[in-house]
Amino acid sequence: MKLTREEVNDIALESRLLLTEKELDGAVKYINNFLDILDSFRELDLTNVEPFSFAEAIECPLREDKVIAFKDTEAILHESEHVDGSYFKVPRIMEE
Amino acid sequence: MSELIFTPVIGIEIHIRLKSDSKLFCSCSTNTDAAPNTNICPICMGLPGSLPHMNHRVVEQGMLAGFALNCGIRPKSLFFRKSYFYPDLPKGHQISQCDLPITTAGYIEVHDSEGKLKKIRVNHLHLEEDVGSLHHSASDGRLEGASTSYVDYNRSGTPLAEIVSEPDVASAAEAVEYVTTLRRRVIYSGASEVELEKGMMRFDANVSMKCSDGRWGKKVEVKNMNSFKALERAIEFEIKRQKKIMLQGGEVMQETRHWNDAKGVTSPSRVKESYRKFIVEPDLPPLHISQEWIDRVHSRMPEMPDVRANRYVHDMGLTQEAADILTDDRKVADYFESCVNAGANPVRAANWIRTEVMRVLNETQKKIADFNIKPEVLAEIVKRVDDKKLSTTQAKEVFDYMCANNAGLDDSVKKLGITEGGVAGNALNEIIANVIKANPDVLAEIQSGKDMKGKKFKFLQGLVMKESKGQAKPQEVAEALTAALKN
Repeated sequence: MKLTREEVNDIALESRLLLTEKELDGAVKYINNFLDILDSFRELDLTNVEPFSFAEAIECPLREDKVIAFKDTEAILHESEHVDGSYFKVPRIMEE
Repeated sequence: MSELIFTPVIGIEIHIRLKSDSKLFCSCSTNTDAAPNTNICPICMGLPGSLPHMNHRVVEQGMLAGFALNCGIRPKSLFFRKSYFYPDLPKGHQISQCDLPITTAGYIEVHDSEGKLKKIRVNHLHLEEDVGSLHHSASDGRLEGASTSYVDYNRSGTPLAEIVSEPDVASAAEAVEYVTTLRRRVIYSGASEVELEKGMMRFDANVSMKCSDGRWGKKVEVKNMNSFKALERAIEFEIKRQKKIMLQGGEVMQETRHWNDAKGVTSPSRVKESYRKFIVEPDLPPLHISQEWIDRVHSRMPEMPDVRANRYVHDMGLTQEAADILTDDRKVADYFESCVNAGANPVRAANWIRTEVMRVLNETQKKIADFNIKPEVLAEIVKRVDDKKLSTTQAKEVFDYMCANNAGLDDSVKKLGITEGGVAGNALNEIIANVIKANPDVLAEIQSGKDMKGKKFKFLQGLVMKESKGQAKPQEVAEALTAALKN
């Protein structure tokens, strides 16, 4: 599998990164080298192997459905400079 | 050249808010009506160092909703981070089960255009968190046209079930039946209240067209429908739009379109299609569900509404229409069954509930759980009518009195001065004698033979009925009055 210059550029934009032409060349080479390594796994027969996602065999801890209000919501609001009353403010986003 | 036939191919994605007191991964309240940004914490705001902590009840709600859709439960499911940048999502990613969901496949049955039952396959149901809500103008409207949007994160992190169907839906009508049936079954399961007016159910539809000449149109995703009507109209609009393009020899573009409910049209969405950017959520180990847990939750599943409606039709003699109305709300169906168990005739109990009880609930904006006449008492009213102790008119009067005054049955009968069994015999004759005595001029007119059309006779009959407070039988009044006038 190889990614094109265009695809890498799209991913960069999604990640809010602006790359110069030179940086983009470097990124394409770097990512494709990495994908080549992953491709080498295709030589293995993994038919009955479960996908690996966690190193430890732990289960998802569950909690009781009980409301415990967080006391300092004001402090969370103050994390942002853009607050009006109890709302966060963001640049206008509107779907037609 | 034969006429071209177009067949719509539709898949539907539904988001339903699951019922829980606290959010999916934190202990904040799920009350979205609270003052803005009061039900938030470092977890649902994605502040550094916070860790998601899964809600036990939501897992069970997901299972119940899955059972309602005839799905199986996966013994091991997994959570993923779906990354995207949008201000309604403070973490920059949504935690969702996309690839290894809690349920396996299921189905919902609907009627096709010929009235035959067909299965709409459900690919899966998965759990995910909801996002915050954006307000484009404040309540006073002063922000209209402003350059700012306002964000409330109270909804952020509340639990959702996303239900993805296979593209088995062939018309807008089937789509509406699919979502209506699905909603009713999920409410029955107890997994969610699915209150539409509170935005607890939202729809997206994937619409494409197959043409009899072998052409397949590309798939168009239509978003932003949050009512059954909007879903129906959006699908109808999209079918027409795509058909027209294909008839003109054009090609339907694969795109996401936005439903504008006010204008009744879909238009290309400006949101750029993004990559599937998923990674396994490193903070949530796999969710293991034992068979014992599955069995325990499954034992809580009530009889589903369509099964119940069938039973009413086949065992109790109700019409399909009546059975559907009664089973629409599980609590109404429970009320009906309690009424029947208390000895009421099922068909008549059903009529009473459909007309009188639902009318009063509607007028008073009450739910059946808060209705003051208990099912056993309604059963007693129905029985007294059957035993002819009360006429239908009297029974309705008593019923209304009980509703208005929160009174008991016997008290109400007494208060209204009703003699059970009605006014007849000597009591009736006495009323007739008094009425005649009080109206000598009318009597004279009848006896002189001027009352050719019987209007005066009817006038006297009406007075007698009034005096008997509607408790005399009209036929008996007519006979007794005729006899009295001859004397």
